Order: sequence, then structure tokens, then C-alpha cells
Amino acid sequence: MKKRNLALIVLIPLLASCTKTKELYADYAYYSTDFMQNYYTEHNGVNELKEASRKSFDLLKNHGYQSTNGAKGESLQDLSCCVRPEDNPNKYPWISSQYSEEFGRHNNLTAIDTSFAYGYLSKLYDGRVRCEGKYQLSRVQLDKTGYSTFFPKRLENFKYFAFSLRGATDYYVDNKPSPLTKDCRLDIHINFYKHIANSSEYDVVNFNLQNVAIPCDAGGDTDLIVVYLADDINEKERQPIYDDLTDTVAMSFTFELKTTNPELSDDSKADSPYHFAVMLYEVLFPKSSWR
Amino acid sequence: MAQKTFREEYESIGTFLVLEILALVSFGLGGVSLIFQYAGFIVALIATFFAFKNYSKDDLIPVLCLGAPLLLLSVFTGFGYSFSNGDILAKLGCFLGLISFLAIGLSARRMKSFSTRNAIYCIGGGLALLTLIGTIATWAQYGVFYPLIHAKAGSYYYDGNLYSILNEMAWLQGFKVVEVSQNYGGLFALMSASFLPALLFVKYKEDKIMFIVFAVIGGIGLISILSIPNFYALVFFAIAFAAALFYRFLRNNELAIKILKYAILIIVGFAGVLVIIALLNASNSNVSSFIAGSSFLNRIFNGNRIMIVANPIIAAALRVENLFGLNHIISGYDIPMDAIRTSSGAFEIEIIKEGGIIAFLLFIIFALFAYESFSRYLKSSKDADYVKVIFLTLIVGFVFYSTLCFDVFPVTHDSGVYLPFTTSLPLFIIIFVIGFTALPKGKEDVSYQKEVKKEEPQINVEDEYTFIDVEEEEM
Repeated sequence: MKKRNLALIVLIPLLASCTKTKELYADYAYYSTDFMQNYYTEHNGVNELKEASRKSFDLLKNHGYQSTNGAKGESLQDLSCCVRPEDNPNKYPWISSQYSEEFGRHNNLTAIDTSFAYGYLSKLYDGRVRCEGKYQLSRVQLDKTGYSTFFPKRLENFKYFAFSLRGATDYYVDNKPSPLTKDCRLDIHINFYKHIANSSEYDVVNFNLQNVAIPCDAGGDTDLIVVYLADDINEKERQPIYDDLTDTVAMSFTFELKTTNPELSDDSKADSPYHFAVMLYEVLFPKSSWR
Repeated sequence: MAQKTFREEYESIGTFLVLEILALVSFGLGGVSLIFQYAGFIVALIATFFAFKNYSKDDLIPVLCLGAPLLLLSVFTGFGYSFSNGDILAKLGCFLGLISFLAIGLSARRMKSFSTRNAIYCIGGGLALLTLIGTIATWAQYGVFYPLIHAKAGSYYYDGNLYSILNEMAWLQGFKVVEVSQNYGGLFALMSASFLPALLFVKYKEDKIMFIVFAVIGGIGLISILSIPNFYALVFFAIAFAAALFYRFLRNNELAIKILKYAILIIVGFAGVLVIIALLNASNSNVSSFIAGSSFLNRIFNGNRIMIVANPIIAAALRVENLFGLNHIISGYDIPMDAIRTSSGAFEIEIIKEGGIIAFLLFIIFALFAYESFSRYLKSSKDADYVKVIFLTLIVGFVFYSTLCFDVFPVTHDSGVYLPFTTSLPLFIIIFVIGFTALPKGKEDVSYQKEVKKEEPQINVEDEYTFIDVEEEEM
């Protein structure tokens, strides 16, 4: 009996789950003044998942997604791009009134469920849709391979999702403006992974946002991209998509830079004079629930 | 049998309430000190009522010497400008807290049915339980020796902000476990470990229960300190243990006592000189320029984590408009808000923050009287040696640790949780101990509790007071 008790005492530290030590970094990881050191290219095992099926949806601007179109963070309330169409005021009942500058703070995933608060990617769930003086601490810098992650919980219910981002380059030549300042366009690919019960495979729902114009090298301006699953996807198809996305456990984000410039690459590993990155600030599932 | 008075009849209720509040304050309940400030005040009134007839004229001097500076200090910390934004309940609670626990200590000593042993069990039990829960939660979330294992890469992100596990641990805060600084949790662990030196005076064969209780309480504290490990807590535990060893083996050695007295005088004198230079450095540009010229002096008086916070606080506190606390209204932007919102680590600086420079001077006066009173207690009191040593190690550990490591912003992920020093629960315990050990000069051996002779076979619980500490009476 005494030996058993002793073993139990010894086992207590060993049984520790060490939840706080699972994801640790050296000080100021991804916080370098060297642009190339800050790329986050982790896929956290999501890229190795077995796909059982894949559904794809191509979304066009104002037909499936909307963008603040480079509106400055301070004036997010002024979303001239997102006003309700006059001919159908009920079409976007949520859009013009709710996108104030407080939108991120009120709808971020950490506010919905605190399990999103832990880890490097908590930057994407903290409600900061723009820099807010935090610089590298508020964003995730991505190359074209993007990033993937498992969510801490399963998506139970949602109506739409959104993300805020901007482009950036390490272009700095005699104070000349970046070639992408005026025209920066991307194709963005977002995958959601839903685990199939009693299986090691996953159903994938893929959204392709084509020709998305975003601000680039223009200070801290960010765009809020809102994917609301409307217009392109009619009512009959929309509900099945919601059903498909229910129980989503992971997502991935990749992109391609559409604006061509021979000196500029969207691949962080490419031997190119200059490199492009997407600065992703926030991923939002407003009014979602997780279990 | 003579008829018992109301006080005698119901004194055990007062005793129970004192013990209960000691246990609850030691356990902490998340540092919600406001509840304990008011509860302490009520218990102090009740305890004083039951002990009132045992107070004598001889008690006037210790009560005044300790009570007056503490009362005035509480006026400054409670109603000074520093908490001008607080509501009246918070101000009143701050005012009542310290003086209430001093009164509880003074009165508990003078209650016939009060048992020192039970009081020590309650304090130790509360501290050990809190430390145990925090330590197990820390093991579960971080593992053991995690600051050493993850020394090279110990940063993590929470809610988009960067933190380090190297300085934090898990702790019970209210009804949930949160991340707090190791400095905060370490104080409770150190105070729990302070019960370990009492084993120098308790023999297992003579009192198994007491030996086991102290071993468990102290063991939990020490294991907590070692399993993290908390370097500062370990060092100050060693100092407290050394004090206990001195008391155990050298208390009758006149030469050793003389050396100790001189050593304390030198340390106090040296500290006094440092304080004066620090005051001048913070307030006088000529002195600060002189100090800045020497890298050694600059490091002591400017370039360390304590003085970076302390200097702007001292400079602000020495302005006329801030004598009654840092006056936000008059001083406006001259108040160093960044320093106020940063934990200095030194409780002395925190007192200046909370009550101003006069409050700090009052605290010095209180500390001097407390030192004199406790020294007399150690030398002349009839209390058992284990009691004296537990009180000694508690005070020594607390004072040293709080001079370097006291954290008023302990919750890692919520910098808005401010636990001021003068309303902190560990301080309430120490103030209780100082009150409890304050005895009238020349009458340190007076016993307020009912005498029990060793030869008596058994205490009749119906006829005698039920909480009599037999061990104390045997000394």
C-alpha cells in the first residue's frame, strides 16, 4: 500500500498534461526586423489529412464575398462598398450597420470561446483587425503556401466568416514606392476540413475568392473580406454548405499573387530580389458557436 | 461552580470566528481582500468584546505603539489621494483591514479559550491548501522544473499577446485556476514552508499529530518552491531556516546574540543610508548626476527593476501636493502612471504608491515598534518554542521576500487586477502575528489562558475552556 501511494505521488508530475508547454517559442519568434524571418509557414499536420471528398465554390466580389476595399481602419464605419443595394434593402441586412471599428473586438473568436486564446494563431482570433500599434504581434505573415490549423473546438453553427488582411513586400529602393502600392490582387483559397466519424478521412469544403484587391505597402491599412455565402450560392445550395461546414475542425489559407512583377515573388523560399507576403490580421466567425 | 458571565459563556464563539477568519485569510479565496477587511473588522469587534476585561493598563503602551502608527498609516492608504478614484466601501475597507487584524491578534492573545496551536493549524492549513492546489495545477499545466527545461524557448501567445512561462505559474484565484506570477504564488509557498523549521522543536514520539501536521504544511510549501523552482523563495526560506536554527542552538549564546544584534544594526543602518541616498537621487538633480557618473552606483540606484519603478514614485511622493498620497488631481501628468501600473517588487515602494511618503514613515515607525515587541516576545514569552519559531520564520520570510518579490499585479493575462500591499492577505496574517505577540513590557510571561498543570490527567471539556493549548502551558 505504501509503495502504491509513493508511486502515485511520483506519477502526479508525470501525468501532467503540460497544456501550457505544448506551443512555446524563443523570445520574439516571428518578430524580427528582417522581413524574411517573419514568415509563418506552419500547417500543423492539416496538410497531411486524407481527403474523402471535396466541394469547391468560386466566389466573386459582391457575389459571395465583399471587401472594405482598402478603407482605412479608422473609417471602417464608412463602407461605401458594402451599402445595401437600394433595390433590395433586405439583401444584406447585416452589412452596413455592423461593420464599425468595434466589429473585430465584438466578434472575435476569443470573445466567443476562450479556447481560441492560446497559441501563436491567437493573433488571428483576438479582434485586432489592423495593426493597432502592435506591429508583428498583431499579424501572421504568410507566403503563398499560407497556413493551416486545427481549431481548438468543432464549429457547431455559423452564418458567415470574415478575415482582415493586407499585402506587404520587402521592396525598399531609394524610397521609391512599392510596385504593388496601387494594384495588388490575389486569388485566395480557403479550405475547411470536417472529420468523418469513425474514419481517418476528412470532407473538404473549398472557397476560392478570385481577384481580390487588397491594400499593399500602404502603411497599416487592411481590408476586411466578408464571405457571406450569398448570391453565387442560391438558397437551396446555401443550407447544405452550412451543413457541410458544421463540425469543421480545421482550416487552411493559401493564395496566389495575381499582380505580376518579375522582381517580386510570393514564395518565401524563392531566390527573388523581393518578396511578397500577406499580412493576415484576423479570422472571424461572427456569432458562431463551438463545442 | 460559579455562574459564568455572558463573556465567559460565549467566548468560544469569538474564538471560533477568529480561527475561521485566520483560516480563510490564509486560504485567500482569490485575494478578495475587501470581504476580509470587513469580516476582519467584525471579528475584531467581537474578539475585543470578549477579551476586553483581560486588557490592562500595561497593555496601553503596546496597543498605542503598534496601533497608532498603523491606524494613521491606514488613514493615508485608505483615504489618501492615491485611491481617490475608489469608492467609499473600498476606501473604508482599506482603512479597516490592517488595524482590524492587529486588534484580532491583540485580543486573541487575551481570550481565555483561544488556542495558539489551533490558530497555527488554521493559518498553516489555509496556506498549505492554497499552495497545494496551485502546485498541482502548475504541475498539470506546466510540468515540473519548467523554467529550467524551457529556459531557451519559454514564450507563448495568449489572446494575441506574448507571454513567458518562465515567470508564471497556475494559481487558484476565486473559483478558477488562472496564470499568476511566480512571485505571487511563491509568497504563499514560502509562508507554508515556514512551518518546516518548527520540526526542530517537535519530537515525533511526543506529539505525532503535530509533527505530521507541520511536516505536511511545510513539506507542501517546500515541494512547491523546489518543483518550479522558485529561486528567490528558496533563498528566503534558507534565511528563515537559518533564523530558526539560530534560535534553536544559539539563543542562549551571549556572544552570538551580540554578533546578531550588531549585524542587524549594521544591516538596518546600511539600509537607512541606501534609503536616504535613494530619496536624494530621486529628488535632487545634483545627486542623481553624481550617481549617474558611477556605473556601480548607477546600477544600484537607477538601473534595476525595482529602482526603475521606485525613482519616479519617490520623486512624485516628495512633492508637497503628494504628501497625503499621490494626488492625481493636482499633480496631473506629473504622476508617473507607468510606474504606478508596474509592480516594483518592493513592498516599501508599494506603500509609498498607496499612501505617500508620510505613510511610509509611519510604516517605518510601526516596523520599529513591531521589531522591539517581537524581540521581547521571543526572549521572554511563555509560548512554546515551535510557536515562536513559526512566527519568526513567517515574519522573516515575508519581510525579505516582500522586499524583492512582492507582486501587486499578479494575474498574467489581466494586468487590471491590482492587489495593493496594504490590503494583501499575507500581510494581514503577519499583522495578526505582530498583534498576537505584543505583550506588555515586563509581563511577557503573563498567561491569559486558563492554567493547566501537567499532572492533571484530563481536561474536563464541560468545566474548562475547550481550546486550551496544553503544550504551551507545559513550557
